[in-house]
Amino acid sequence: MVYPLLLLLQAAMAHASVVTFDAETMGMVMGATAPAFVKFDFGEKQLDAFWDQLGDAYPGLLYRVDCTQDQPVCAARSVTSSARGLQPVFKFWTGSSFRRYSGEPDPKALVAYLQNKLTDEQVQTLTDRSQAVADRKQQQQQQQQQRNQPTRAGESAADAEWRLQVLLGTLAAGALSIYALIKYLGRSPHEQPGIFVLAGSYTQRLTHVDGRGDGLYLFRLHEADGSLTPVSCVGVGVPNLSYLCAEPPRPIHGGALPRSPPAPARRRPHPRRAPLPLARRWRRVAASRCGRMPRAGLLRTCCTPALAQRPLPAPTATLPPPPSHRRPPSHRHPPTAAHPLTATRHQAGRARTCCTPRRRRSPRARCSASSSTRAARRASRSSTTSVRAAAPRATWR
Amino acid sequence: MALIAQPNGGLGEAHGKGPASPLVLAANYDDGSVVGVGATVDAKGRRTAAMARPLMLRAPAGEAGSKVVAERQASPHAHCCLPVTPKGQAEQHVLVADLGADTVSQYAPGAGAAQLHLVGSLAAAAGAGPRHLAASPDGAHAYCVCELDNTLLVLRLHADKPPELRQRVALLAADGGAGAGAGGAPKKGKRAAAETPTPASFASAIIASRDGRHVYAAVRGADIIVTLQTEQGGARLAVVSRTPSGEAADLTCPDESRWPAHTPRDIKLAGPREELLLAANQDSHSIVSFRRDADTGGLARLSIVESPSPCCLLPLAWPPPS
Repeated sequence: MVYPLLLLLQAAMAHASVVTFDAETMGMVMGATAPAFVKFDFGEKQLDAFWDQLGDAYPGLLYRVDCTQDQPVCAARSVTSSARGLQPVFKFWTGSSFRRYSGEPDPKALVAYLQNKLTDEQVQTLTDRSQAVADRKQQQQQQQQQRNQPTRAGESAADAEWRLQVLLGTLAAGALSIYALIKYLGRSPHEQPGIFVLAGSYTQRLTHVDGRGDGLYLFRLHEADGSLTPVSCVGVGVPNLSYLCAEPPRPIHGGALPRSPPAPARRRPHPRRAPLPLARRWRRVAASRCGRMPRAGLLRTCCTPALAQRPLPAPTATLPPPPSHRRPPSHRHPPTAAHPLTATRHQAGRARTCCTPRRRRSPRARCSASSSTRAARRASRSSTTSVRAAAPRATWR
Repeated sequence: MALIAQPNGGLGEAHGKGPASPLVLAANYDDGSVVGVGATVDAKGRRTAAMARPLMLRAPAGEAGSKVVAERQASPHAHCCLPVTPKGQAEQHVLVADLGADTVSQYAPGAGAAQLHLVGSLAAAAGAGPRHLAASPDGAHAYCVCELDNTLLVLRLHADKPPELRQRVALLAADGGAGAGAGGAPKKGKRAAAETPTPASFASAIIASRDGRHVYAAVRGADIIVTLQTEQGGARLAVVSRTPSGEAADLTCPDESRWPAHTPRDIKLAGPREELLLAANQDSHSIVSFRRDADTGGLARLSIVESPSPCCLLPLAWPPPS
């Protein structure tokens, strides 16, 4: 019986409150036959919250007297704090007399005590009263809502239109973002239209050149200022790329476009076929030396810290030095008396060793060539070295 | 085997009996031969990345070097081959510059599949060392830069006769260097004047502008880019200026006792209107860009970027023209 009462208490906690007991209230209570449960406080606040909740469950039943403020009321009922200190004193009005609660000031005990004191009829009366109070409050809220309804309806129409606009805008922005993301993911960031420059490099230290390259380098050319931005490099497995050409035919050395008849039908690209990615198309760039095509992954980005844009030095009006100060380029050829040019080159080369010492490359500066590419490069180097050692010959090409 | 590759843009298709795809011509330096390498197609007719078996277009010439410069000319050394369409002709010919034999040979498509027959050869000066070729836009003339004597040959092309020499232009100034007007980069090194003999320069690359008004040649050693203006419809060339391919500030050599160098090994024109010229400086490990004046042909330096040992350049427009 106690727990349903507690549930009822919980359900009604928001609808009623405890009436503060004073001399006038005490007269009213004692002049009626309705029961009342009074809590005389002496400063202890622990049961205040419980008392309020219990008062919500039994509207008009529970009262409170603050004996620290209204001492005459407490004295009239012979209630003092000497017995329990600051703990409250509970008294139940049966309709004809007060009964002092002598149990522990525990919520469960108080509820049980109250339940014992109230008859079923009184409980039903209090429950109906509590329900009536709740219904009345709900009715008041509904009336208040009905009074505000016209204004809210106008606001709702504007809000709905605004929400629709926001929703459409959000959807449009989302669709655009998804489209841009798909486009971005579908292409390399380096595939923006423009002019690119491929540079083949010497990869081996030969007699006439200190090859420091790693293969094929790719730059983006900015037409406005002529600057070149490094994009990537790739080892192609072929040492010392000496010449590059591209397909489709295009002017080389400024010559005219070659006249080629229409391609056979079977070689035409499929009309529904999407353009090849940049890497695949440029894979067809022919690397010289052996006619091999560069391996896949041509545009694989690698870290090339050495490929930094150098600031343009200040223009100088210095005239070139006299011819005797100039350096001949081929200084490593073996001496020969057959031609004065050859002898001159060799003599000059003995004076000039090398501008920069042995090549220094950090691991990060190397191209991200695949293991197979590196293996091919090593094999090529070794074979080239062996051939050169077996049959030395002119290397200035 | 050192190759210089050039696209021919459908040589085989020109005479109808060649391979089904355009060839990449390659000049073999060591034996003087010229081969053509074509792409392959798969069963669906799509191009593949694999290369077809090389076709021997010009057989090795054997021991026929001029031997003027024994080290370089003991045997034929085909250094460059260039497909050209002589003026008034429908089929493409191939010019081959042979550094070892001091010749510029012209080949026409032969009767057999993917073969060339010799139209004729022009004998350059002994010891000249023809190295690279370029052609005028109309195909009437070709320009050949000679590495060993630093000259530029103006050749008139015929369909049935060998190239005809019309002019021989010295790329270096009279003093043997870049010339007074070149503004060349001062060389470092205090030992230069005392120990260095007369410098040796070696022409490397040549390009012609698309409008046919200017020709550019690079010279290693002198480290210059020579600008030449065409006259008489490309039949004559006149030196306009000599521009240093690099500056002293580009050289990062901290040791003044050593010789710095730029060594422009390749030059290329870039841009929609060829308003830029790029120079690959092999020994200063950089690529220098120049602004090109389309009217005067003059070059003004713009920018430089580091590039380890560059030896060849290829500007590409992206996306590629369809």
